[in-house]
Amino acid sequence: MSEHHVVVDNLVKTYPGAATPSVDHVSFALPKGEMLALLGPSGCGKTTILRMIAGLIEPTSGAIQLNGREISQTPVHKRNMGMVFQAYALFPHMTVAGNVAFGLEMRGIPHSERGPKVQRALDMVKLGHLGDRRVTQLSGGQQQRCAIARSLVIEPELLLLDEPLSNLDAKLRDEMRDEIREIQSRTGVTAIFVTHDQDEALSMADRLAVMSAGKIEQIGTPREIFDAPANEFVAGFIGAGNFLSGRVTAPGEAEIEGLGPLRFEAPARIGSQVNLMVRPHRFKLAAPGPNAFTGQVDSLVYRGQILTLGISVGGKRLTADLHTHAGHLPAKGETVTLAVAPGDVTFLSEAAA
Amino acid sequence: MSATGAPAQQITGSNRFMLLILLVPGLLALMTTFLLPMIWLARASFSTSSMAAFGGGMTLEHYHAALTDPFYWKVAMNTLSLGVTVSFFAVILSYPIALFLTRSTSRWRGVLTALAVAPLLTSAVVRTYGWMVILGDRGVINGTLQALSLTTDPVRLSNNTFGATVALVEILMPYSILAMLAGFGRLNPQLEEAASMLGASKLRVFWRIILPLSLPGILTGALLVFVLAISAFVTPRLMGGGRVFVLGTEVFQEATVTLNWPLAAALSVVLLALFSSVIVIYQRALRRLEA
Amino acid sequence: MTKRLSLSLLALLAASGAAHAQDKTPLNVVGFSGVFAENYEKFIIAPFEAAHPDIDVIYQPSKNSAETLALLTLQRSDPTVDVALIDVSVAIKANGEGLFATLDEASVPNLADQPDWARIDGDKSIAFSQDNLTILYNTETVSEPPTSWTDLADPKYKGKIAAKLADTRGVILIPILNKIAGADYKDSIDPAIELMNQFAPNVSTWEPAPDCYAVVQSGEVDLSICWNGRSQYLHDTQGGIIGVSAPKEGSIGQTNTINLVEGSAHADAAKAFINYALSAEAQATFAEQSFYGPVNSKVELSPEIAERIYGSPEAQAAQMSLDWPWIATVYSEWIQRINREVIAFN
Ligand SMILES: Nc1ncnc2c1ncn2[C@@H]1O[C@H](COP(=O)(O)OP(=O)(O)OP(=O)(O)O)[C@@H](O)[C@H]1O
Ligand SMILES: [Mg+2]
Repeated sequence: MSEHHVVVDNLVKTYPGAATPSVDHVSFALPKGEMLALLGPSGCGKTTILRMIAGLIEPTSGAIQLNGREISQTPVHKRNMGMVFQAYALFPHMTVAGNVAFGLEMRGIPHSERGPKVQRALDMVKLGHLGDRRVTQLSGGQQQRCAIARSLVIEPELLLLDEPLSNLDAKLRDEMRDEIREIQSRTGVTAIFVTHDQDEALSMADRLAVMSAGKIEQIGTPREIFDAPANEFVAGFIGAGNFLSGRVTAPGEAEIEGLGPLRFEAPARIGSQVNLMVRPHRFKLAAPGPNAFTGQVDSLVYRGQILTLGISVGGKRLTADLHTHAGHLPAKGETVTLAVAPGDVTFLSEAAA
Repeated sequence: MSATGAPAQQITGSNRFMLLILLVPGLLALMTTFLLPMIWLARASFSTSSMAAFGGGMTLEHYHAALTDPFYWKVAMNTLSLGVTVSFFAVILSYPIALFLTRSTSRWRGVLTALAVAPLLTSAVVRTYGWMVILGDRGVINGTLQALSLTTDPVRLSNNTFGATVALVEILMPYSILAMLAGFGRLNPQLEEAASMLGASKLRVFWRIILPLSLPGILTGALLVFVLAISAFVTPRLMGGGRVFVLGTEVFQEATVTLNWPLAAALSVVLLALFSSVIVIYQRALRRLEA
Repeated sequence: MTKRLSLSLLALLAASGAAHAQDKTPLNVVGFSGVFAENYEKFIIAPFEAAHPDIDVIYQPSKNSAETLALLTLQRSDPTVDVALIDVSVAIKANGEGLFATLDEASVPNLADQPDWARIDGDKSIAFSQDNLTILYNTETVSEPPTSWTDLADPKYKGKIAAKLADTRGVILIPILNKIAGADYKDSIDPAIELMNQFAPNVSTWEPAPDCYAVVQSGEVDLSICWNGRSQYLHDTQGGIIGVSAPKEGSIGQTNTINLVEGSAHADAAKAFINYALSAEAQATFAEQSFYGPVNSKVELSPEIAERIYGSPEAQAAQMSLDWPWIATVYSEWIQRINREVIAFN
C-alpha cells in the first residue's frame, strides 16, 4: 500500500436521516501521477466520495491516506488539495489573477513571488492575457480554465474535479478534455475526477472506477473495463452491447434462445445458464456458418466512419457497428449474416440451472 | 456563476405601449400619494402665510431661519449621529442573524425568517411602549438590578438618547434583516468551500469571501435603517423623554405645537435634502463596490 | 340606464336632504375630545337642543387644536364646520388668517357678561372656560402633597417628575413662575427660565407617554404638571390614586374659546348656540361637572366647587389671567426658549 499516493479504505458515508449509505465501503488506491475517473449514474455517490477526500464532509467510517498519512482528521484548508467545481465557484469579487493568487496568498507566499506564479498558471491555461478581467466577464470555457489554474497554482498533492466539463458545449468539452489531460500529465499531479459521461472517462482517465448505488462495481484501465466488464452493470453502463443468455450445451458453447448455438472462450459448466455479450463492433459481415446469424436489416444509422445496423433474428434484435470502408455496405431490407469470433464474445456470468 | 444570462428582452413599440398602460395606475397612485404632497410641501416651505396657504408671496425666510439657527444645525448633527449610531448597531446585530438565515439549510429556516421579521406585525408605537416598560425607571432592567441589590437608585436607561437608540435599533432591525436577506444573493456555500480548499481558515473565509460578498446587502440594510432612523419621530420623542432633539421631532413640534407650518415644511425639505444626499453618496459607493 | 338610475338616486338623496333640512338645521361643532366631549354633549349640547328643537348639533371631536386649525384651513372656501372650540393660542392664529367671523352683542347677548380679556380679537374668539395648570401627585408614593410650585425643585423628587412643557403648559407656567420671582412676564422671562432650571434636574421625562396623567397613575413618576379638569375627573374615578394639588401661588387656565366659522352656512343657529354656551347657566353647569373654570362674570360658584377648580382661598385670590393676544406673539419664542434653555440641558 505504501507506494500508493492516495489510499481510500472502506469509506462509508450515510447522510443523517438516510436509510442506506450513499457511499458503501469504497476502497481504491492511486499511484502518484495517475488520473482516476469515478464514473456512474446520477446519485451513485461520486460527489460524496470526492467531498470526503477533500474534507468538505466527514466520512461515517473508513480511512483516507495521502502520502501514507491518515488525513481524515485534517481540516479542509490544511489538506493542500485542488478542487475544480462543476459550477467553477470562482470568486465574483476578484479578478482572474486575484482568483488564482488567492491560494498563494493563503499560503503566505510573498507578493513578489505570487505574480510570476500566477502568470505561469494563467499562461498554462491560455488565460495569460486576461488576468485583469473580472471573472464575471469570462466565457464558460475561460471560467473553467481559470478554475483549473486556481487549483493547480498551489501545487496541490491531489487534484479533484467534479464534473468539470458538464457546463460546456460539446465542442468545447472535447477541447478541454484534451487540455485537462495534457496539463495533468505535464504537471504530474495525481487527480480524481467525477463524471457520468463514459466517453470522457474512457478518454481521459488512466483508470476508471465504475460505481453503482454507493459501491464500486469495477475498477480498472479503460480497456479492462470495456473489454472485460466484471458484470452486466458495468457492461451495460460502458458502451453498447448485445446481451445474450442461454444454456451451456458443450464446453465453450451455449444454445441461445431463438438464435442457435454460440461459441465463446470461457470455462462454463455444461447445463448451466450463462450471460454473454457481444460488442456491436465485434460483428463482421460473413457468409453463413458457425457463430453467424442471418436476418433482415431493419434499421440503418450512418455515422460517418461507422454504420450501425440492426437485424432481427428469431425474435431477437442484434446491433452491429460496421466500418464504412469495409467494402459492400448493406441496404435496408437486405438479408445479411453477422459473425463473431468466439474470442470476441464477452462472458459475463454463469448461474447453475 | 455561469456567465450566460437570459437574452435581453427586446422592447418593441406595441410592447412599450402596453407597458405604459400597465404603469398608469401605479404612476397615478404615486402621483397623488407621493408627488403631489411633496410639491405641496416644497411650495409651503416658501409660503409667506404662516398657515402655508397657497397663493400669496414666496419667501426664503424660513430657510434662512432654519439654516442660520445654530440650534437647528445641532439638531441636524444629532439626527445624523442618531442615524449613524442606530444603523451601526442595527447592522452589527442583524448581520449574524441574516447570515445565519441565509446559510441555514435547516427546514426551520422559513419559520426562523418569519420570526426574525415578525416584529413588523406590531406597530412601532406599540414596540416603543414595550421598550418603555423594559428600560423605564421602574422597568424590568432596573427592577432586576435593584432586586439583586446592584443599584439602589434607578439607572437612567430611558428618556434619553440611549433609550431612543436602543428602541430604534430593535424596531428597525427587521428592516435591515430583510434588506440583507435580499442583498446576500451572491453568497454561495461553494465559494466558501472553494476558499477553504485553497487554504483559507474559517476566519479568512469570512474576511475574504463572506464579508466582501455580503457587503452590498450590509450597505443596503444600513442605508434603509439610516433613512428610517433619521426620519423617525415617535420613538425618539417617547423614548427620548423630550430630550432627544432630531429633525423629525422638530418638524412635529413646529407643525403641531407652534403651528409654524412653513418652517416645518422648510425643515422637512432640509431633512429630505439630507436623505437624498446620503442616498446619492451611498449609491455611488455601492456601485463602485459592485463594479 | 345607469345614468337615469344615478339621476334618480341623486333626486332621492336631495329629497331626503331637503326633508332633513326642513326638520332641523344641522349645526356642526368641532371641539376637544375625551371627557370634555362627553361632558360638553351632556351638559351643554343636550339642554341647548332641548330648548331649540329645530337645531341638530353634531359634535365632532378633534385630536387637538392644531388638527382643527388644519381642517378649518382646508375648508376655508366652503366650510362644513360652523362652530369651533379651540385653544386660545390657536384661535388667535386662526384669526390672523381670517378664519372666524366677528360676533356682536345684538345676536349674542351673553357677550355682555364676558370680561374684557375673554373677548379676543374684537369679538372673533370668546373664551368660555379655563382649565387650570396644576400639580398631579400619586397618593400612594407622595405622603405630603406639594403646596407650592417651588416644591417641584425639592431634591426628594429627583427623577420623579413628568413635565410636558414644550407646549401651552410651558407657556402658562412661565408667567406663574415669573410672578413667584416677582417679575412681569411682559418684561423678561429669564426669572421663570431660571426657576424651571431649578426643578429641571428632577424631571424624568419631558414627554410623558401616553400622557401626563397616566404616568402618575402607573407610579412611573410622583408628580406631573397637568390640567385640572381631567385631573379632578381621574381623582374621582380612579379610586383616589391620583391627587390634585393646586399650588398656593395660584395658577392660570388653559383658555378655551368658542368661534363662529367665517362663511358658515348656519350662522344664525351657530350664534344661538354660542349665546347659550356663554350663558351663566351653561358655564356654571359645565364648571360643576367638569371643573373647568367659568368665564362669564355672572357665574357664582359654591365654595367647594371653587376650591376644586382653583384651589385654596389663597390660591383663588392669586388666580391670574393672561393677555392672550400678546402671548400669541411670543408663544413660539417661549417654547423655543424652554426647549433650548431648559429641556436640552436636562
Ligand atoms: N447533503 C446530503 N444530504 C443527504 N443526502 C445527500 C446529500 N448529498 C447527497 N445525498 C444523497 O447521496 C447520494 C449520492 O449523492 P452524490 O451527490 O454523491 O451523487 P453523484 O453520484 O455525485 O450524482 P450526480 O451525478 O447526480 O452528481 C444521493 O442519493 C443523494 O441524494
Ligand atoms: Mg455529483
